[in-house]
Amino acid sequence: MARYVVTFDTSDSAVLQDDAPGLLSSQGFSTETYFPRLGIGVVEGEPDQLESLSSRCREQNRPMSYTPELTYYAITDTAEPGFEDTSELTWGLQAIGIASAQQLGQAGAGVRVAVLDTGFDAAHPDFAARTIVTESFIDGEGPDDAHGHGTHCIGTACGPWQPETGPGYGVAPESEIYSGKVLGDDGTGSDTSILAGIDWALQNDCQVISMSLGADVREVHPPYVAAGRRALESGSLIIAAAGNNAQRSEGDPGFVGAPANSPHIMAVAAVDSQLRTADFSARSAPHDGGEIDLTAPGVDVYSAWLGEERHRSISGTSMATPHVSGIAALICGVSETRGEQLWQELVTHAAALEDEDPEDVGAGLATVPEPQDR
Amino acid sequence: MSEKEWIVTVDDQDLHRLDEIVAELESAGLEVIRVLRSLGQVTGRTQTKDAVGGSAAEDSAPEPLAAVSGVVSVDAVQQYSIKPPDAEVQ
Repeated sequence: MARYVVTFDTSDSAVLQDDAPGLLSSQGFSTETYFPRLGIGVVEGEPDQLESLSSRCREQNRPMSYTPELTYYAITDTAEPGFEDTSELTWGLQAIGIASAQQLGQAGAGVRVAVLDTGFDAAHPDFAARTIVTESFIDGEGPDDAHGHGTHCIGTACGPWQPETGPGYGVAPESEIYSGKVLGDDGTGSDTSILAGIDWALQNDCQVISMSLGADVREVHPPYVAAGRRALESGSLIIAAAGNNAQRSEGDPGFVGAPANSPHIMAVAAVDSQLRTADFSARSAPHDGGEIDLTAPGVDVYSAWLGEERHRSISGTSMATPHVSGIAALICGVSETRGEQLWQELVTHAAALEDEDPEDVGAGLATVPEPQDR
Repeated sequence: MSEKEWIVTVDDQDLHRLDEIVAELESAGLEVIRVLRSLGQVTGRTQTKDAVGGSAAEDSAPEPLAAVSGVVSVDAVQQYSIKPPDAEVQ
């Protein structure tokens, strides 16, 4: 169900007063928010319901148009409390409550986090002292990142709290980085490379596998059902991006794509710094596994980037996913919780977002557990 | 000749004889790319001959692969992609 603005385009007040509300009721719409003087109403319904209202109006020669309802915000309202990047921390780290991990100095030590993506810029100065294992599953390409996406995602999951310059942007700075290149320099990959990457992560006993990738495909892809289950059974949690196929401002909420739509793979949506669902962030799909499990910061996320540029802010459920992977590493580092239990811990510690639909945010915003909750 | 890639998923209870299954898949026409031992999956490709007066049996469709004992499913490989580096939403 979505909300639409219905406009009857005539100056004939008899039509606006009587015929228009009659047409609306006859098609099952409420006339509660119909304004006869304007000939405008706001109704809730499915696109095909609107289409049949439209053809009924045409038949009766009553010109009518409808558009998805837009949400407006008062311009003076922009000071609505939200998070913002400071010189100390990105808004995302603040939002997930990184402070409680920092107070205790718990930074994911001993946890192996596999990030399956476009590779990693191992020469990045923010990672000079880190344990990094890299591998490429793309024919003819080494493990280096020539795109930037992989380095950015690794930055968010495993980057520093206090880099030499700029704000802290990584969730679990003492975790061990396993960068599996499963998407080529052109940003594309296939099941052949991705499954090889998951298998490699399992061989290396990575507790967390972060996959900021997907295809806008509604069908569950069977290989990931088996892969997700076998990963959980071996104590590895796969966390994947829900997808960026929504265009909420145009009335399209999108759907969780593959492989995040598999039952044993966690699907992560994205919120902005006001903790509102991002315009592009996909909604739950109606089948087992198609749910959004958690949401995380995914708009204007500052993290590591290639070469001289070093850092860049970008958006996507790809950027939300490594926030959750980093939190998983923090939890695992403290309690050695793994697999299915780690999944449950993440969900248990999510902060409910009351203004957001669970179809969009799942259990809510992923957060770092407070010390007393551990 | 056209080429197609597949993912073969092996049943839990048959994982102990994965090597045997891989050999059978090869005889059934699969050119193995990787054996994913931790996942119990095999990736590989088949060659499809363009039918020029040849018999349909030349087609290396996955039927002979799916028929190998211990195979749960044979699925065509999907492609994935992310937006270019300069895209605002990735």
